[in-house]
Amino acid sequence: MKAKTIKVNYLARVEGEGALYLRLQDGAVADVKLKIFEPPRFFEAFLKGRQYYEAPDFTSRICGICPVAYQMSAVHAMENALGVKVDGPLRALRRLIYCGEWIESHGLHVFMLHAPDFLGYQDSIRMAQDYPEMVKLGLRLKKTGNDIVSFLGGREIHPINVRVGGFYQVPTKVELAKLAENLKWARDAARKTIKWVAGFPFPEFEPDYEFVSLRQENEYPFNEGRLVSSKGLDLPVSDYDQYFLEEQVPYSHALHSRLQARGPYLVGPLARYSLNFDRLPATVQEAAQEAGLGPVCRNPFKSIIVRAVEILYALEEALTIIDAYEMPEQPAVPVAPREGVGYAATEAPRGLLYHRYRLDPDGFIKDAKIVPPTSQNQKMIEQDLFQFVAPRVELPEEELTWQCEQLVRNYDPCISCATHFLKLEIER
Amino acid sequence: MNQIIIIGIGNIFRGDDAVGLVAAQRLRDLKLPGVQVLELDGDITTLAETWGGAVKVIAIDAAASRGVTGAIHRFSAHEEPLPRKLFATCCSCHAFGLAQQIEIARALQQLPPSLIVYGIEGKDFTLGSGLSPEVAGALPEVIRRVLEELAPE
Repeated sequence: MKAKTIKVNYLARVEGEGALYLRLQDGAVADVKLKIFEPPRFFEAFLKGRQYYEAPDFTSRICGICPVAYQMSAVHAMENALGVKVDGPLRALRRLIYCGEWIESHGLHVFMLHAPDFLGYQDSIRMAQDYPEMVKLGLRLKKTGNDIVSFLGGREIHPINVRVGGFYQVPTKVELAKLAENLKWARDAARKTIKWVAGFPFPEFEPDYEFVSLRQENEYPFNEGRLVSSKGLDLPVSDYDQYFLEEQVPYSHALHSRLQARGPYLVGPLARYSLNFDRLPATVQEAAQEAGLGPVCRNPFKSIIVRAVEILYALEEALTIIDAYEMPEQPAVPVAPREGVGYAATEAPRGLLYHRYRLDPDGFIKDAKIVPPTSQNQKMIEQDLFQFVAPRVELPEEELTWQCEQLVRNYDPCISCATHFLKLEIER
Repeated sequence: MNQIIIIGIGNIFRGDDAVGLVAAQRLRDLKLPGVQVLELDGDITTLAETWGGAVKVIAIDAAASRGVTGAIHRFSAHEEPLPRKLFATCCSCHAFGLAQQIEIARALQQLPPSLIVYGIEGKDFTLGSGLSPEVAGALPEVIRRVLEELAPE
């Protein structure tokens, strides 16, 4: 009997507080636990009794990296409950603000959190010393995303301009056009980024994932579409609860999701890309292919390339939207409360974000359900670790631990947290 | 472009993490001539841009070194990195903390000629507003010292 335990008490370069625990027994993986010990914040509970129009601003506080995703899922779910359809330029502006968030969030992950793994650095600080130009480019690219979000949303983090029915204020065509110049620079920067990350070394690892994402006519998905999977699922979002379960596990504060029929599944860039490659514009498809990606990508380490491709897509889409934009007469369509249940899923940078709300006749929230992408991926992260570690148990402990951490970071897990105090230890 | 910039950093909803923002608000109320006061309460990856061409930057943030609550740490960040272990333990930061951002800027040669960092030791970073009494008690001294930094030599 030979037992070995690998523990990473604080995962670095992930958002929030999480730990990793692996137990090896007789040359095989006996147990894997991804522990999330961020305190639960009870958002679903305190939404009860609030008005329908408060949900976007409340839920945006769940995450400082992807507040737009929370706002988008909330407004679409409310509009679903209230029988409202937002179309035309307002719909386009919602896609545009989401482009900003993808650029910002993917930019941060690609350059600051993920690239150091492939280039052998402990962190982006040491990487910046050797790759100053790429890090500068990455920070500026990310800032392009921030600029879109703050322009349309009123501020970079937790934007305040999004409402059920549309926006509080919308820009004129001239105002919006000012964003375009920098986006053109960013589009070139995104192409450079794709080439750069495509040259990284990638381990051979291609699990047989069940990908889950939205899919719609003609467009790469942000806010709309049916729920589809690579193993045949094709449902309206309102059927989500019938097919997907959330379970509590004793060692994590985040609920685990699984498909009732088959178990763990994958959401996020890899799933979105592999289920929607044909929905990307030809220019973006070509850039992906030049980077060595096929129409399906199953290697989670290559998610860094897919994120770079999605940054390029978001920039192309943003430029298209800005070009076609005509200022709407009203910043929002009228909305009146009524009794009902509303469902929506949107594509957060890290994957599918599901919201469901039940409203009373006066528009008060009776109950709320929110399923973020990281909780949907948790079980898959654990399964990946089982599979990945099995042929590598003989690796020296330090190297194995490092590779396991990398595997977790492939998911860009967002263990939501909003504090960034200076954590320091003073040597005496 | 202002020659001197004061940046308060923190999260107003996370107990003592708000101390940098509170200090910045008090300094702003003093309407110091030629001094720009900024409050950063979220994404600080744009930190280097905020100081642009400033000659002197003073950043104020909460510290969590499990030391005496209310203790005031001062670092000349343009001369040397913030304490080494700071990074080893700085894993819970949402994306990036101040120390990491400063080190990135150093690597990219984007530091201002003078960058002074004040860290005020906090104890309670749980959700909710309001500073611990010891942290609130340290504020007048922090303000006094920052003003001293601004005085002509």
